Amino acid sequence: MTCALDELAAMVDTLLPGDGIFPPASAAGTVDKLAQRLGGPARAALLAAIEQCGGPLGPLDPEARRAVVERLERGHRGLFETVLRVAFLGYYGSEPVAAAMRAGGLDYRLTPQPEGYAMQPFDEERDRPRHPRGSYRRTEEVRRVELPEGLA
Amino acid sequence: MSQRADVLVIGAGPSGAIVSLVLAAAGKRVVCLEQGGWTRGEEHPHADPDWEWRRFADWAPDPDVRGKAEDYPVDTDDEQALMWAGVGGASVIYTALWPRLRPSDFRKGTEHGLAPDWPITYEDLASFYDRTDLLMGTSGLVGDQAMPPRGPFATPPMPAGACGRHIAGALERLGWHGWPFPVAALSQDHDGRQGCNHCGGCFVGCSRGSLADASACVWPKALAAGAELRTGARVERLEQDGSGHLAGAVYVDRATGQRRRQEADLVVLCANGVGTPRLLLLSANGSCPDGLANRSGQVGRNLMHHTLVGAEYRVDAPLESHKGMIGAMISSEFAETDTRRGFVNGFNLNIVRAPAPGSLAVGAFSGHRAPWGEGHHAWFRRRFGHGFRAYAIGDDLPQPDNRVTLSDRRTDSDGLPAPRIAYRPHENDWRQMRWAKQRLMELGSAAGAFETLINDYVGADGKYRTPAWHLLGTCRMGLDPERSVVDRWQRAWDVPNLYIVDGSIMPTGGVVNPTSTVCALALRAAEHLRDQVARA
Repeated sequence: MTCALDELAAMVDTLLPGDGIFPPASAAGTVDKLAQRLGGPARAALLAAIEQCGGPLGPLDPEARRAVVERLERGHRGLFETVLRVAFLGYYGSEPVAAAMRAGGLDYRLTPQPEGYAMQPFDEERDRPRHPRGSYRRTEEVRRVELPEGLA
Repeated sequence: MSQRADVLVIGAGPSGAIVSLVLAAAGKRVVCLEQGGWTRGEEHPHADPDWEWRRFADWAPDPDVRGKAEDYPVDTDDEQALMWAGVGGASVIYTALWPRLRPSDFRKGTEHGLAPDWPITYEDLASFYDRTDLLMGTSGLVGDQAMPPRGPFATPPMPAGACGRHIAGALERLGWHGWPFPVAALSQDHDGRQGCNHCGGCFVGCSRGSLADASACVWPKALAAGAELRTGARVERLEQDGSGHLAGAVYVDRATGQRRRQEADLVVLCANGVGTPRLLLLSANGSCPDGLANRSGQVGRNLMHHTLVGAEYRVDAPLESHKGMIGAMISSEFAETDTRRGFVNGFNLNIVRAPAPGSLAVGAFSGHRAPWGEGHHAWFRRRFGHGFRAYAIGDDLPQPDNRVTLSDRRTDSDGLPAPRIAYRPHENDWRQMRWAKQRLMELGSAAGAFETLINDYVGADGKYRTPAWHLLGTCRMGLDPERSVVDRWQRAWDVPNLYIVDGSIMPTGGVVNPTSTVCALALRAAEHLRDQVARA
């Protein structure tokens, strides 16, 4: 299992490497989430597919890992997209990633509640549309139209 | 057997809640059977770091993804129906966008004849719209010239924010109508409920009760008025007596697995545009072999979902679009029929805030995911908080072959046949969606979008599969018992003590999210029952 987790870590770090502000996925709890959410059969299928594509990833340098994952993406599209989806959602559900977003200047919290966000109330003076546009057909104004060609 | 009820309500969504409230407040003994249970505010995932993951798992809008025992599966490859089995129904997870039908939506038979007229007019419903606005707790801005006058709203409009102002600017440049979105959510504390704190998590409902989830804003009043709500009660069939009246319903008590019977003088079916025809078909008997209330053959037919094309826009300006109530602006520029476009009917543009980070990355709404690898973070920085979405929601034509039947291969957890759904857009719908796609592209240009991603819901196999947020039309109301299932008061033509009060009775769907109309129709039907029928 340790080997499998190491391989999953190499996989998620290839998908989501760190960049100095954002952490690599393995440092954001993504490995455990991927292992748990994929479940045994899909996890085994992933590890087998990685090997088919030139893995395991563990001993490889980043460039070679990327080449393996690109082959995985081309050759095992459905499995790859599932893994990527689980990795993305797991990654953005972690506090280290939320902290990185804040460090980049975003007002962002990991969970929507309980704090929510402060917003300025609707300001009639500033926010009410000034345009005179918009109309509707009243009940008594509805008339028969000629059907466009091909719809009769 | 339980004590006989005056009124048996089946389904505890918004319409079942309103019917129960009105009739219980009038002193009637009301029993409501609901197959699911309660979802309390704290059970919503908003305080869970994995709230976005859960939106695609146990909080997915599609019951086949959630796979909970209280849900019933849907046998279809044509769509992904949004449903929630539980108190509050789909209002537990909807986004509470609260526009109304337009007067012409009730007159499509007169206008072009490819859909029927309603047996009622907008004016018949207007006062009920106004009152359900206040009951549910809405916010919005009066004065929209694209609609008949409405108001007052319970609370002022939601904050516009940078996102709303950016959208308004784009609409202004195009010369298109645009108005702050009317929503069934509170911008301030009201009626014992908390105002919105702009958390941006509306697509998993609302844990604060600010959004008009019927379990939070109607059911407490209905229970206080004396209605009895029985959860975990899945109705298996409606039972007719020898006179053709309904005697009551047989249901599965899901806690024990036992079949129970509830008798009543009146039955009000509020089980949505899929669940209602399913139950009528399940209730076929010797004298109604094709299903209850189905002498017309219309039960289950004419299913409508609205046409749908979506767009996701990314702009350079920071919009903080992860904050705030999801509904930002509505444009009714193209809502009325203009045959020069090559089709009848129209569509609204529902312009909404952009997704949370995980949803952005997986392309949950755009259908276009983020890149992986070294470029991912730069991609993300440029886009998160810099976007918004628009949905062209149009009036699809009712077609008899778009229908709900009973599946012969799938059942729910109690062994009852699942609904089977067939749905294909009409040629008019395709024309409308193609034309709408061009308008969505124009909106992106006017907004200065560096990226406009269209989601037309057409898969790699070329098939259109709508998310089916709206379930309409399958027990249409009308003036002719040969061509409709219920009359103008929503009473089944064939069964004198059966009323249908949900989206299934809508003969057309208009260009708007339907819950405001479903609620107004529910209040109208409930007061009719209270004043004219139950008294008798």
